[in-house]
Amino acid sequence: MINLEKTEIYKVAQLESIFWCFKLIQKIFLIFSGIFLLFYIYNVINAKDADLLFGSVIVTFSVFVLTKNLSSFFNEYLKNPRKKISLEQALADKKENLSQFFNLKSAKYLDEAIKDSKRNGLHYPNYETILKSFLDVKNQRIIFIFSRLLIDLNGLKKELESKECLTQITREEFEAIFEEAGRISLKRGGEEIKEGDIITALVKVEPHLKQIIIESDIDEEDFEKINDWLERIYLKIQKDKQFWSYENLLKLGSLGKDWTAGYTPTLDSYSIDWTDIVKRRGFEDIIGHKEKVSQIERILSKKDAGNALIIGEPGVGRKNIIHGVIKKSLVGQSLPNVNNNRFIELDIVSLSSTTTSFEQMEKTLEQCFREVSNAGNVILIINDFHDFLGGKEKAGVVDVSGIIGPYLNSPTFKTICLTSYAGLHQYIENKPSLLAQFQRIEVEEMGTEETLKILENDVFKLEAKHQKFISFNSLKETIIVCEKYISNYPFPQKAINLLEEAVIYSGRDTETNIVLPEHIDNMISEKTKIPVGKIRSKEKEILLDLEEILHKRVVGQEEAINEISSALRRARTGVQTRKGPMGSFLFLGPTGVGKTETAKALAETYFNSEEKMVRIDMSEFQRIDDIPRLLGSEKQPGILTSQVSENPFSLVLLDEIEKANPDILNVFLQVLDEGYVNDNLGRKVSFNNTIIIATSNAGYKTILKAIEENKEMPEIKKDLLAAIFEKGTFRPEFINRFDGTIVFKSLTKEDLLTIAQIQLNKLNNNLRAKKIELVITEELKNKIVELSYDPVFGAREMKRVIQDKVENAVARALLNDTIPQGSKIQIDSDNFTISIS
Amino acid sequence: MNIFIKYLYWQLILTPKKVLSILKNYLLFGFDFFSIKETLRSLFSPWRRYLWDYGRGFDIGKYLETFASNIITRVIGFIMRLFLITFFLIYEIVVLVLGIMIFFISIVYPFLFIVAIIYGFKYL
Repeated sequence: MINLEKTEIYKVAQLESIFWCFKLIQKIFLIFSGIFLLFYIYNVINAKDADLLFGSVIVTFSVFVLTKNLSSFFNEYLKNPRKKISLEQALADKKENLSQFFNLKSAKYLDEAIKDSKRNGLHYPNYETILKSFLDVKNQRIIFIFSRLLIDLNGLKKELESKECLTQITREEFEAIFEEAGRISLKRGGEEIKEGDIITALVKVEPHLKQIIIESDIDEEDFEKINDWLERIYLKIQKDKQFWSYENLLKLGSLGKDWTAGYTPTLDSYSIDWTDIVKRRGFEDIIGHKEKVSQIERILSKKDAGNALIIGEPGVGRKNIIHGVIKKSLVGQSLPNVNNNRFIELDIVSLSSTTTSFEQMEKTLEQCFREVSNAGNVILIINDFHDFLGGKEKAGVVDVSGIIGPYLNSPTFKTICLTSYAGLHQYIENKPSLLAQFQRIEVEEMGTEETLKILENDVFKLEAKHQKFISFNSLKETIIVCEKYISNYPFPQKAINLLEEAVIYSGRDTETNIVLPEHIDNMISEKTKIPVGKIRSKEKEILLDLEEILHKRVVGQEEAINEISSALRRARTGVQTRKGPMGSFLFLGPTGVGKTETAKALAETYFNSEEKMVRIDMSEFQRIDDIPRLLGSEKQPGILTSQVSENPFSLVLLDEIEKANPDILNVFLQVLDEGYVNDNLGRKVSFNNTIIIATSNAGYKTILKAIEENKEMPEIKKDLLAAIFEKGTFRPEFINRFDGTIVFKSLTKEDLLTIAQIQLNKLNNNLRAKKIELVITEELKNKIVELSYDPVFGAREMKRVIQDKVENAVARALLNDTIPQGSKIQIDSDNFTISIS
Repeated sequence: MNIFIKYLYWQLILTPKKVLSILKNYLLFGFDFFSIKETLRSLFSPWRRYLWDYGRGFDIGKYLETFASNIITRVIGFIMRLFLITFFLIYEIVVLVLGIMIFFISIVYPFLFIVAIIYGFKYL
């Protein structure tokens, strides 16, 4: 229920103007008391009569203090009336007056809207009227929401003011807005319904806001996300302002906590003090990984040996987790054994650069570890732990396993080591006794929601540093493109890096000081060499015209091309829910009918170049022992995984898939289903940005036979699949994983004539450089087709025939200097002799 | 509730309550800032863990020398901690005295300034 007039906050809103006057009086009287004080001092120094000035100082200053006191009364008490029930309870009970949860501004705006609607003869203010009164162009909350979304607040306000909207809405519709606003507030952990919550609720129903959403890249949820961000900022400001709170006082540090701890002079020379870094960074909020922070605290607080091994790819926020532990330890909010410890990272690189021999380095390391153990308040951090276990033979790298081993058992020696999955599998797992001393903490990649919050926290620092305004749309775009195009680095680091690079990049754009999604797209295009923005906007056009585009290169195969195009359209428009690659197809058909050519054409269409094709001959993987060659092992990189890691935006062509070992095909079940595969080092290789095409000529005889019998394509496909299943070439679950099983027919003579024309045109293009033109006659084409036609080998023979008969003849003539420049040549179709016309 | 009563409730109950809560924070913070729990627990502990080992065998001279050194390091630790405790006590007393003063002032200052206005008008 909404009944504003019955609420305390409504009464307070009526009083606001009086208290606003107090604020004004306060300022005036403070100025006057200052002036009177100066005159009073002047008169006293000059021994003049100062009684009047003395009285004036006292009166004006007292008025200032009293009005200040009344303003505090208004701000601290009246503006926050006590409620008998919580917002959650009020939302559950439909009879409760929800307007009691409004903050002062919301109450004021709604009051204005109600008055406005009464003037227009409406029972309840309609959506437009509510929005109009809430669009206060001086309200910082409203400005924040609309400016971050790059919506013209003034323009929208003017538009609403210029129209007279007399749409009637029902009481239920009116109240539903505020119920929704209440739910939004509750979702973000609020206890009041603020103007941002009401605007967010209005987005779902108000026509102007809905129109903005339709016309731009903004989603309804964006309003909610910005509102959430905004309220987090206000909460932080409010918390920081209360310098007297116990939490803030603890940040001032302490004296004497390390007096019972030993000195660590050697360690101090070869280390980085993370505790100092966290203090200097000013106790930033740690987002995500809260459970991992608790896990480390539990490990470190163990009475016996407490060693944590953080496993995760660089960039997933491993160091941030340690920052979280340090932050809690500094303010004494961690577990007793973790509180007030020093977190020191061993800087082995600086140690190796200052020592001259391995013996000396080992001695120094031993001394460092002894100091850690003796100090009693040091938690040692070793980054890239795997690099120091003798696995990598490079100058200056020492194997610490022998030295650190005995200390890891000690209850006085606490350490946090960081490593990646590859480091763990390659080096640490080789030393099982060492690994047994650690408790593992596996850090997964952060989700997009948490990454967005991290970016939001970084925005103000970036804006101050680069003097740019970062729109919310660009934050959203950063996450979208990172998720789609950067797969070799995890969230949140890839998004943080990209945003900063894009802000710097936007400096080139002298026309605007705003970081826009286009800047993010351009930046990612430079990084990945893929025209991101274009691809995304052009993808629709490509998908719509795919048949035509593919037919420019592929002759015939209408049914196959149509089926590929339809399957890709289904896959790319989100009609199908999917996690796997962009698209996956199994091309079946005899050799030389255009399967590979279609794959090449798709690579060129989708990835802008034929080079973006990872071609793997599956006949090389006939044994199960070949899996390491495909996925990689400790000794060698995987043919498939390394190529896809290096080219995440590519077309993967698996040639002659029927020849591969069935167990190898099982690997592809996961790739096709989930869109990733783990290589032998445990690294996740994503196929989300690839199109996978497997080709096979299994059952081609069935196709040839079916064509001879003039069967239609659906029937041919049915026969072919039946033959394949019968022979056990592929299992049904394998075939079903593909977005489409495409059957390529044998080429007809007409198709081959067209191919001959294309091939001869290519030759002509080459000759054009020598200013020679080949006249392509029908007879020549017919002869070439006649010589090369073979339903089993398709067009494959044609290339050889053209090489043998045409190209060789032309080459010989060129060497004999019998063709003068600028001449037209013709080839006799009977004996392939050249005549100059 | 009448606004005047609300004002009195805020001025005479809520504001002093807030002052008391802030005072409590500062007093508790003193315990943490001067590490009182740790200091009392380790009052006679050696300074910065400096301890000499008595070694193997028994040599009265060496034993006494080590004993004296260990006593000295404990005495240094004790003196330093005593200083810290003294500063803590001074801090707590100052905070308490100032806190109590602010507590009373926070209750009565608006009424004092009303009196001051009346007093000031006498000079006008």
